[in-house]
Amino acid sequence: MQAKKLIITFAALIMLWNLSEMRLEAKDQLNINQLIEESQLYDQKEVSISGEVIGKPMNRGEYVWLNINDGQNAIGISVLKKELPDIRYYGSYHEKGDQVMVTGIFFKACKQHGGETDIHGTTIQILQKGEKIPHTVSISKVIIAISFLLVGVGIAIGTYQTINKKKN
Amino acid sequence: MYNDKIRWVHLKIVMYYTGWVIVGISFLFLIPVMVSAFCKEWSVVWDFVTSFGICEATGFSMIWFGHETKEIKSMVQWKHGYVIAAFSWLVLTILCAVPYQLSGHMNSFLDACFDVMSGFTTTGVFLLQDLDHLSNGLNLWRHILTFVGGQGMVVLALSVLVKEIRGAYKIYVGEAKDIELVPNVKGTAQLIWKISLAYLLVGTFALWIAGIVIGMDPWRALFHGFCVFASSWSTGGFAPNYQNMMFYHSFLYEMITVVIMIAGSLNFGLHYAIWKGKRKEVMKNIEVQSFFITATVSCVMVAVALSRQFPDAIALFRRVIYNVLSAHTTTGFGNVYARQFIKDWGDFGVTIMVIVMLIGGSACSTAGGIKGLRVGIMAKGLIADIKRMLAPDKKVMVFKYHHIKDYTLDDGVLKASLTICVCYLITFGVGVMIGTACGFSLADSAFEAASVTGNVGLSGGMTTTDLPVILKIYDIAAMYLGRLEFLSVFALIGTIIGGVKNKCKRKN
Repeated sequence: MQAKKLIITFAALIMLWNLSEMRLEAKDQLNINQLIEESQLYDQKEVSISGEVIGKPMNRGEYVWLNINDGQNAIGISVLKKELPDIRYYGSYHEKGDQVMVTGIFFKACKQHGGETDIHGTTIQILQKGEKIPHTVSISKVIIAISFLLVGVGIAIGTYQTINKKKN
Repeated sequence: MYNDKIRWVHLKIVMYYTGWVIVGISFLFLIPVMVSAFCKEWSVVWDFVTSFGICEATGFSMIWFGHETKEIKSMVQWKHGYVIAAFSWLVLTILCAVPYQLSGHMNSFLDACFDVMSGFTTTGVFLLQDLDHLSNGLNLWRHILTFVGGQGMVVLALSVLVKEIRGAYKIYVGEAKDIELVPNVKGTAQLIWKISLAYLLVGTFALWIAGIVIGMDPWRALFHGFCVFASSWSTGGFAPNYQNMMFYHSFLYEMITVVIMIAGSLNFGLHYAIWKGKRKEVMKNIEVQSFFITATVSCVMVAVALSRQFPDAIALFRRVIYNVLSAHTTTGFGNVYARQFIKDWGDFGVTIMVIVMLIGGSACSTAGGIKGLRVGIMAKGLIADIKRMLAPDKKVMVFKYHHIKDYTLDDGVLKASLTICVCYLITFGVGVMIGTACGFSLADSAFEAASVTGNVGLSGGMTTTDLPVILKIYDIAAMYLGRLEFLSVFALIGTIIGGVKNKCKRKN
């Protein structure tokens, strides 16, 4: 009985410790504007940010550049190709990009990359898969467009006829 | 009764020619229609078809209203030229904002007009939301506007429609372009476009190759290549993605844009002279000398001031010199974050940036600002005055400056340069006052006011959709005034006030 109580207490303590760790992680996760505003504070420190992957990755040797937009601002992430998870969707007109959490070292003026403000990613974790963005065209939009086009063409023809009548 | 008739004729002249400029520009809507269809962006296709229809209807209605003007071509006066240019820009800003508004990326129609005016005037600040999810069609449209705005919309209309526009030179000058490359205005307008299209081919090709080298797929590299070329040649500052030049993470890409934006900020007359084999013109031209001196001095000063913030010379070149040159050529490409200008560059860095943004590029180029020609003339005028003061009383001294050919530095030239310079400074001052009155810091307000007045487009982070309406309106007005160099807009305002006054008088 005593041993059972001890195990339960121990398990509860581990759970509490994990929870506090999780809270700490969430607290440490920054947004890009915070990094820029307090760049001196976070310079060359490990940070975590999350956001949508924008545009396709750009390969540079064994590294790759990813651009992450957190809705307020965007930043470049340089990461080893082999560390890149299986990102399916990249933010564009047709797609909402995968949401990822990037952990890495933040550089206010990175020597390796010509003074760029960037993050050298160590781990990239997919938080949420992206998706195709449906862009439906309503019938009313088509009707309005054709109507304006016809009005424009009609006025153009009318104007030409008026000018030509004057000529004759 | 006679005066009424004359006034009516003036109105018809303005409407007729403005109508033709609108019709000429309306065909540009067909480019994004085709690109959107190619990219299967069907909703965007219909947005542009709607906009094209509205533009055609407006343009031809205006031509119809003033069609009798065709028989009285000799009546086109200088004031008409100024008013037509200024009025065309205003009407086209509203018409070209329609696809922006229909896209759902704008918070209001005022924001849409803000972005179009920023494009036309090659400024480059924007209020468009969620740029990274923008359609290729609308993204291309932004860059087409900035490309056309840089060469001049009236210039474009003149080069294709000159049979219909007989008072052409007067309208051409109204758009702040007064250089005569060849004796006729159609030839000059076409030459400006030939020069720009030649650079377009070379520049887009260079950026396309660079795009592939830095890891973009060929189609995307071509799209970005065209957009970035259009923006850098026109000294615009728009880029297809939110991060502007930081999106590419590439020294090569940045270097190519530096070459293009410096070329874009030079006078079309200088390009033509070089094309004609007069290479010595580069060394002798007062504008080139002026740009070289102010760019070198400003780059050195900011680089020295910020040298401790960057790890090496390459970083200093890429993050400091690049941005100073971008500001000086009034391009507005940035490869540091907007807030870093204000937070990290300090008051000295911001002051230098404000000065170079106000000086700007060359006259009769795609650049904005007071212009190197005027700065050069004013500097020479000051030196001439000092020399006259020190010379014996009887000695008659004549001073000259070289700009394509030799000119005498007389009081008229000096006065004209000073007038425009004062106008720019007043516009800048008003912007700083409104900005600080709205609660922004002096550095923020000065940076933003210089940026819009000089048609630069760099931002210290102040220009967002939350900007007070009064500041949005000021920005639109400052961009418009700065690009048309005040006189055309003053002529339009004068005409409107005159018309209203006469109406009131008749009622009394």
